[in-house]
Amino acid sequence: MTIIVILAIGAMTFLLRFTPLLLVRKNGSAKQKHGFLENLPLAILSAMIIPGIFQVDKESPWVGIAAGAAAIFLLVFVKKIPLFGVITASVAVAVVVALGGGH
Amino acid sequence: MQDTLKLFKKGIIDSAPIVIGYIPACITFGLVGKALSLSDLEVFLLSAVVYAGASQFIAANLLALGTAAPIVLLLTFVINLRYLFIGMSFASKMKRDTRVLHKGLVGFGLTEEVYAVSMMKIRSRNDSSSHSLPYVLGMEFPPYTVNLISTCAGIMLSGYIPADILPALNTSLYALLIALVIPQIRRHRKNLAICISAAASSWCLQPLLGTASVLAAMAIGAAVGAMFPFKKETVRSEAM
Repeated sequence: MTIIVILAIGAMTFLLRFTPLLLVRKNGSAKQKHGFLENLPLAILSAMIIPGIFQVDKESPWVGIAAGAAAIFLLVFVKKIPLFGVITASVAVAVVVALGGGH
Repeated sequence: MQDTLKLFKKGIIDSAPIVIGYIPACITFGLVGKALSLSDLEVFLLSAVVYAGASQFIAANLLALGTAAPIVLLLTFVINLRYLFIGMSFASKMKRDTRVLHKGLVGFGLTEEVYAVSMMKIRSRNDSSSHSLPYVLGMEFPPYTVNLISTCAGIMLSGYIPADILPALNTSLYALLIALVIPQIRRHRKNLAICISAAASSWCLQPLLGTASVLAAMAIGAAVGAMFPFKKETVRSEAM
């Protein structure tokens, strides 16, 4: 069942990438719509972060909070940092918290 | 023929920064997928068939939670809507006579990173060769191959990572999501309002609605954003 869902997600993702390529026009630049639809991606990402991040470790919310705080700190104060650096650093913080005081 | 091979090779060389980024990300995905107790095949297929960064992590998370299939599909659809804009922008730079089969190949491998790097190369070199078919395919081939190999490596390594640490490794998903959200918030006040309203309603509604709270929160956040007066933003550079 899960496999079928995964294949369906894959097919849908492919169509999203492939369909626009069929609509090639001379001046076919992407015009973005401002409004409800344009706001959806950010809204969904935000809704997935909270409260999920508090529940990532069922024994202690501090693991997720520490990881989140580390990521935000790096993104806000150390701007020239690659995505992978942010992820590694915040996971490292989470591991330290989980092994240390978290449990 | 000589030219085709040369362009293909050039694409491969230009894909190096993408490859370097994908290796750790895909190893992490393999580890996280296993930590969420998905099967090896499920984790591998998410990388091999979906091949779409953040939405892979989100789909893995939702599937592991036992979320209903329509909700998983709807959420990943919404997250991946950005590919429509990427595709439209990329299409305007492709030759009109490209065969449909070739467009299918290009479309399958057209990740944000491939899009961003190929567009940057065009701008810096100011020539038209960048979107020739062999060049694009050359640029798409190594990242996808590395994606498959690194995901397998992650899956295989997962047995050697102690169980206490696994929930902590899952925070990588949230670090990734935060890294996508923060730059948006900094760009526009409207985005901060969307983020706060969506996050707050997701948190408040979860006891009532379970995983469906994300859908409700998404609608609320987007509606809050739509209330802001229309204002021409600078082009959303990293999404485009």
